[in-house]
Amino acid sequence: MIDVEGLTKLYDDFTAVDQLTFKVTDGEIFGLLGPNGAGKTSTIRMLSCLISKTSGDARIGDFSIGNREDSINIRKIIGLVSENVGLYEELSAYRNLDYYGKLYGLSETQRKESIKHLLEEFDLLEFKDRPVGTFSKGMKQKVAIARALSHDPLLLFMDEPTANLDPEAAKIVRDLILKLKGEGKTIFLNTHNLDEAQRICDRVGILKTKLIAIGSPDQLKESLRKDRTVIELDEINDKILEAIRKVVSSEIEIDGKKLSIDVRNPKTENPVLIKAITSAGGNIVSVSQFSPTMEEVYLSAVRGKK
Amino acid sequence: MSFRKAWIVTQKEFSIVRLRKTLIYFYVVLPLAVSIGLPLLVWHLINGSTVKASDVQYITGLMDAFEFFFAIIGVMLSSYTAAYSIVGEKIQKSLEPLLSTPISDREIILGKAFSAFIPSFTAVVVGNSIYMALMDKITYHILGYSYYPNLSIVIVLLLLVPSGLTLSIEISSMASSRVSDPRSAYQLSMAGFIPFFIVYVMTEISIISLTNTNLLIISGIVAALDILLYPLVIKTFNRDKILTSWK
Repeated sequence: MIDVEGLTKLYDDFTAVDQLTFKVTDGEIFGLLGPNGAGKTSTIRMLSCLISKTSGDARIGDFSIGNREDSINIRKIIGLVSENVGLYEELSAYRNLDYYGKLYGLSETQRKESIKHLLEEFDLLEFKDRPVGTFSKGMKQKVAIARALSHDPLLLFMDEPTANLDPEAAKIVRDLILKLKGEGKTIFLNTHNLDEAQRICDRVGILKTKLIAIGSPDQLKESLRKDRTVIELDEINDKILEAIRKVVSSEIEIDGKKLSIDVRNPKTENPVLIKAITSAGGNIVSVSQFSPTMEEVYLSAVRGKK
Repeated sequence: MSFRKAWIVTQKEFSIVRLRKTLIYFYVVLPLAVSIGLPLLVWHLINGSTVKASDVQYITGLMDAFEFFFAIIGVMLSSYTAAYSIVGEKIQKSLEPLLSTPISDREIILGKAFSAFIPSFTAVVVGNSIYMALMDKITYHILGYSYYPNLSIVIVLLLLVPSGLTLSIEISSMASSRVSDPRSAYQLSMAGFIPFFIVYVMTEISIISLTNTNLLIISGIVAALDILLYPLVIKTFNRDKILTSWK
């Protein structure tokens, strides 16, 4: 669905996006993670033909973002949920959606059916004639998503769709995204929310002007190779520590009677560790295994500690 | 360029204007005040014996100068609407989703121009019709004929007002890219009002007279400015600039 090759955006001398190359397949939820100013919004804006690229190219379906005629065709098959809801506050939810339906060239019958369906799906039908200025943030975000879906796009771009929402509204939006995936939509998502990315994205890319990591959340965690084993003993002594150092090369952190050790492969390394401790006379109270969080993966990537 | 898409934008603007009571009052009160106020002034001059019934030239000169008022009203109305229309999108941050639809930058600006032009022109024509009817009624017994309609009012309504409205909308569009408050945009776009005001003052102090030839020349100059500014408007209302360099 999306094929990006060397995509670059310069604002005068400032490089916002540098040599981006990746693909997003049909029906996938792809998340772009990155700190503020990493180029996430510029990427979405280039891919949705809102701003021009400086070099490289990207294809959305069969169309190139660099081609003027193709850009109109791209905008027909995509929907955009921008960072700000950007609704006309004086107009009702219905009028907002109807306006966009007209811009997408839907007939009156198609617009009526589409709006009714979307408002029903998003539990907004009873509020359809109320000005959106009177809506809560969560309701406005739902209208913004409904607006982006009014022409049944193949691909949905979402820029920070849960930012500024309370946890309940954010959950509603996340559930909606998963529902859309279930309907076969391809979703390209910019987010700061690592937990969100882990829970709903099939793959994520970590962007810091350049794409510094890409893969499924599990693959990225795997690539960090830093599972952690925590072993609680009734007593820690030098003999035990010496025995551990003989079998693992990573640093050992001691917190009271707990030892934390980074392991690359818990399945093979933990039995060796346990055997070494017990052989040194150690009495194990508990063994816990911790996988790296997305936050650790993300911080490791953006700080260049991978 | 699709006029159908531009018209969709215009219709949306109309539905927002309908909900803004102050804008409606502005469209009704201002032309009505001028179209009734100016004939009342002439009526007062005639009946207060300030003007002798025989001073026909003075009365017709006054009426010619008053016609120019309608171009000024048109410029004020269209500047106000265009400023609200574009800055309104900026305030509501609705330009980004709008630009993501299959509509071109030119179709958007054309739609917004229509939404400022049509009601302003309509208000000017309706106000001017009331003005002409009242003036004829008041001056008929002095002039011995109906002064309106005449060629000068045709030039004003069909050439000067449309070109003046276009100029004010162009200036408003460019001003709107520099500010994020409708009032500031309106104040900036009042630059379009200044030349008309200067011409009006010049007629009042008899530096120029608004003969048909002079009206044609002024209309031609304004139309030329319209054409000169058009590429600048297109350059300003460009999606790259809107999303990256507009304030």
